[in-house]
Amino acid sequence: MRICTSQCCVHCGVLAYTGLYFSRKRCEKIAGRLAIHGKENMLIILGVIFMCFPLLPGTGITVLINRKDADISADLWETYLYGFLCCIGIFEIGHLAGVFLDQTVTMCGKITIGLFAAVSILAGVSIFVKRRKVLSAVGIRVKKRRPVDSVHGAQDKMCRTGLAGVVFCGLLIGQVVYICTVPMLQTAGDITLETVNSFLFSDGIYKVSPLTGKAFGGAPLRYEILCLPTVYTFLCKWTGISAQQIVCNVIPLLTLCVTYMVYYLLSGTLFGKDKGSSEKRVWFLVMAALIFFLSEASVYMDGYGILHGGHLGTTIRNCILMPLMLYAALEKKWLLSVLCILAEMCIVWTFWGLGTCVVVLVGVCMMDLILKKSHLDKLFSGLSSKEENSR
Amino acid sequence: MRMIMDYIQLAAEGFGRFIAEYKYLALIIGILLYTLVCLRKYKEHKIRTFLAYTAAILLVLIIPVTAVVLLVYQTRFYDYGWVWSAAPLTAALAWGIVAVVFEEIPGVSSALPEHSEQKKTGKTVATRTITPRLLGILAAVSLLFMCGNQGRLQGISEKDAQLQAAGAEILQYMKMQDLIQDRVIWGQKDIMQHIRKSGGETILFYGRDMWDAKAGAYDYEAYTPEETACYEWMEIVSSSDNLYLLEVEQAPEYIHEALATDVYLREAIARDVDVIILASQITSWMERKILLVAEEKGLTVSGAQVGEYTLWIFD
Repeated sequence: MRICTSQCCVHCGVLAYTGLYFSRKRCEKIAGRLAIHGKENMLIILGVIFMCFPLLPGTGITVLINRKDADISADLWETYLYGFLCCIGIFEIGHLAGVFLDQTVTMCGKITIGLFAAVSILAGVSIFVKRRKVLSAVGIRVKKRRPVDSVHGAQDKMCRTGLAGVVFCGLLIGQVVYICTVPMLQTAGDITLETVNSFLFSDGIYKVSPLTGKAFGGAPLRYEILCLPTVYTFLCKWTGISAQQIVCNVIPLLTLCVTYMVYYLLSGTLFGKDKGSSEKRVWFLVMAALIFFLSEASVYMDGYGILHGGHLGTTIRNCILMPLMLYAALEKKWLLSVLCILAEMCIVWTFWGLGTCVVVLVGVCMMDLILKKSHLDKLFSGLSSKEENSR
Repeated sequence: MRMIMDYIQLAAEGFGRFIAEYKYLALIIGILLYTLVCLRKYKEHKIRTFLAYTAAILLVLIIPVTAVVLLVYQTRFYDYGWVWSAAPLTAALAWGIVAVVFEEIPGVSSALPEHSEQKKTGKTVATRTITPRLLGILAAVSLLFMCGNQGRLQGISEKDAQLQAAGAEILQYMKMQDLIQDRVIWGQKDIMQHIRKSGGETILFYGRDMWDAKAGAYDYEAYTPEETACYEWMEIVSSSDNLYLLEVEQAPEYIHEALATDVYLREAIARDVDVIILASQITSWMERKILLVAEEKGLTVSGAQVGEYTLWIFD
């Protein structure tokens, strides 16, 4: 999991540029040569791009924001999530260009690809310029590696973590199978599939009414600026995969994977990032996965969103952005917090333009201040030390 | 003032409904109480902040007056349930279970002497270490299972699946006969919904926002009373329950009234409907009326049976 970021960015850079320069037809040709046929080829390519693409801008941001002595190769997941939020921003810019300049979805896609290319080049340049920092950070990591625990202790720990890992993998596979095989439930108010179909047919953004197909006066601006339907339409157009598959299977799977990434990141804050707490971190993921499975009875629960509506903006907000905001606020990573707030504005109707991420940020900062100002921490620490002394 | 009172009532009623569905809330509150009692064990400032935030936001959400602030903040566009997005319920619950299990059930290996003979055989030590915590985790899982859906995952009902299959069959027929392009379709809501979801080229008489108000947020325009009346008529004459009552000759008066009238057919044709999808069971009631309406408007009409439905195509 802790793959060196600099090595990763080289791989993902190659893949990202492959994605940019190779058109759909070329990708199909490559897949044809690899003897993968039908739409499966595009699904595989899409999966690879989802896995690797956000890493390049993510690495660029991580390199730019880290201090001299910081270990920038510390968290691959955080780098990925920076890139993920950056991708939402890029898609939003492409979408806004379509809305305000009255462009077609095809043109929006071209603008988005151009932006991706520009961001990738910028990220590549920043990595190249700061390569010494990257290399020194890798050096710090290698030096920082702690001595291996005693053989029996390590075996014991590995066995326990392994068991938790197996349980988690089982649950994850179960969820993947569920998302891929069970027909999606109709969530009240969800018109994503119809909207994507109407965008695909008219090659425009809200040119026709998503629910009837008739010409109409246009959607409210706060609704129109939400980018998710355009992102899905762009993916359908570029890959040739049906809207049904993109909306009901591909995007929910991506949401599921990114959710666990965020929860893994959050577990590091709650249980510690040292190797001793890896067992607790994996059990935390197991519990989260179980809660998702067992709490899918209501639309407002995370489980319902993950299993029945992974394509919805509210699900991405509740399952990815909220825990990520919690992580960012607890770790005091302000750039990540701002990116979360902006991402929420791009994908969920928030009306006032702020959204729930702001509530979490303000809440956590207030609690942090109250705990510090009132010296409650010291009080509790004092109490605990007195109790220990009395024992 | 009245609006604030409405909001408070909404928050109070919403909370009742919410906890009826979300039984984990009691579990989370239990964990929070436990952590408050045993706070000395959690010395990390970040964990204390996380717990303090979770407790504070739960308090805000549980008290109706404070919940109103969040309700106003998120606007009436969203339901009450969405205010709970601000509470990290899944994270708090998962953290609580792991923390309780790992804090309250110490690993057996730590109790064993450092150079115990048993430690030489890794398997025995591992098994002994895992067992108590594993039991704790199993107990927690059982608790989650009982508070949750008990493994009964939601899926689409048999009736919905049948309607979807019928919709797919009709759509396939229409595509084969080239009846999709520039034709306005009218039929039962589930079939229209399926047709629209399957492709953007279809045009419907009215959309899903007719029966799902939340789906209409994208549009300022509202349906006319005539369109709403047409929708209501169509649902009466197409409902499978009503059709069953017709078969067993126990249909109430309003169904016979609906079948006797042709005003809605006229209204639909006047609003450029080209294809009407009706259940085959009511063909004997409808055929003559449809022919009359077409004749009046100077249109030709043809019928085609697809599965259990008849497509009336106007040209």
